[in-house]
Amino acid sequence: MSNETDRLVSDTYNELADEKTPEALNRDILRLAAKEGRTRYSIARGWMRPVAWAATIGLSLVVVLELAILPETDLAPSPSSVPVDAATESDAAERQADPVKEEIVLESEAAEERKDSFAKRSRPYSPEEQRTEKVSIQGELPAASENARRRVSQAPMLSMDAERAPEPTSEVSADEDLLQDLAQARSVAPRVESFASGAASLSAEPDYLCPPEARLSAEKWLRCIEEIEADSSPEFVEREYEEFRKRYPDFEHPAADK
Amino acid sequence: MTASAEVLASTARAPLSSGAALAYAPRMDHAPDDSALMLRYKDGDVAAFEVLYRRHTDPLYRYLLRLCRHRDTAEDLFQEVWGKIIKSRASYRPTAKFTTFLYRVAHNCFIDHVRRNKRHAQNTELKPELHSDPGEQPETSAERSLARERLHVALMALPDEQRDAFLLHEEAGLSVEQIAQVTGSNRETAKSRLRYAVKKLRAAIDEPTEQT
Repeated sequence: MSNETDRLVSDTYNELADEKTPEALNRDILRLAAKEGRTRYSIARGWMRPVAWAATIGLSLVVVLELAILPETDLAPSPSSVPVDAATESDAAERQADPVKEEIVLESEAAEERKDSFAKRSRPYSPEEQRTEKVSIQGELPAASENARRRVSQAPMLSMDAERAPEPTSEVSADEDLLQDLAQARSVAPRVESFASGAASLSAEPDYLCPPEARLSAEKWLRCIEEIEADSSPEFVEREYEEFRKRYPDFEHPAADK
Repeated sequence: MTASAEVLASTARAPLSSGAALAYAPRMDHAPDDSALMLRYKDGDVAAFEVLYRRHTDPLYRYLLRLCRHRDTAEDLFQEVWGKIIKSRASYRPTAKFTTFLYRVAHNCFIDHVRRNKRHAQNTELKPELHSDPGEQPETSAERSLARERLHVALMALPDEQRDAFLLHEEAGLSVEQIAQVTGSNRETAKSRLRYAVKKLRAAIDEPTEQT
C-alpha cells in the first residue's frame, strides 16, 4: 500500500461522505444551464425539423404531380406516330387508293401542323408578326374552328373505320397489307381523338365571337357586337370592340365609343 | 428505469474514491464522455449538460462542503462553479480531462473565497452525519461510527492544502499529477500533501484501536 492511498481511510471516508446536493440547488443550476444553453441553433432546431419534412414532402408531391400531368399535356410526338411520320412517297399512291388510310394520314399531318402552330404561338410575337397575325387571323380562325368541328365529328367515325378496316378481300397479300393498315390505324386513332377533343376545347373558348363574314364591314361587325353584348361575357365584347377599333380606327359610330 | 439511466444514477451516487473510480471506468464505455457532453452542451444540447451535471454534482458538492466546512458557503461556491462552467462552454476545448477542468474551477473559486473572507477558518459549522448499517453488529457499528467521527475531526483539522489534495483524490478520483494540475503546484508538492493528509487521517482512525 502506497503512502498516498490507504484503503481503510478511503473506506471510512466513503462511509462518512454520503451527502447529496440539495434538490433546490440542482433545479437552480439546471434552470440556469437551460437558459444559458439555448443557442440560436438549438431554438431553431425545434421548428427546423418539421419545416424541413414539410418542404421535402411538398416538393416530392409537386414533382410527382408534374410527372403525372406532363405526359397528358406534352406535345412531343409519341413513338406510335413514328411509322406515320416515316411514310415514304412510295406509299402515297397506295394511300390514295385506300380512303381510310388516306384519311388517317391526313389527320396526322394536320395534327403535326397544329403542333407547329402551338409552338409558334408559345413564343412572343415580334411587331411584324403581330401585324401579320391580325390580318391573317380573319381568314384562319373560322377555318380552324371548322376543321376542329369536322374532326370532332369525324374522330369516332375514324376509329370505327379503323375497326372496320380489315374486311376480307380476295387476295392474301392484300390481307397482310390490311393488317398492317389496321395496326397503323389503331395507333393513330387515339391520337386523332385526343387531338380532336383538344381542338374542340380550343374552339369552345374562341378569341373572338363575331364570325369573319360580319367583320368584312364595319356596320355588320358593330351589329354583331351589339347582338353578342346581351348574352356574352363583357371581356369578349370588350375584346371585340378593341379589335374593331384597331381595324376601323376612323369609323364614326356612337356604339364604338362604349 | 432504462439501463443508461441506471448507469447515470449509479455513477451519480457513487463517490469517486480510488475503489469506486475503478468501478466507474468500465461504465463509461457505454456512457458518453464528459468532454463530448460538454461539447454537445456547447452546441445547445441542454440534455447533455444535465447528464454531465448529474454525473459530477454530488462529488463536487462534497468536495466543496468539506473544503469550506460550511454548508451555505459550499452551496454558494457550488453555484458559482457551475455558473462558470456554463459560461465557459463557448471557449471550452477538450484538451484536458473534464474532471480536472471542473475541479480546477472549484479550487480557484475556493481560493478566491478564502481571499475574500480571511476568517473562514474559524467558521467551522459542518457536523458529520453518522449513520450505522442496520445489519451490522452493535459493537462493530459503534467502532465504525467512532472511526468516522474521528476521521471527520481529523479531516477538518487538516491544513487547507492537505485537505484539498485528499478530497481531490477521494471525491474526484484524481491522480497525483492531476491534483498538481488542479492546485497549480508541482507533482512532488501534491504528492507530499496527499501523503501527509492520508498519514494523519490514518493515525486518527487507528488511535482508539491503539489505546485499547
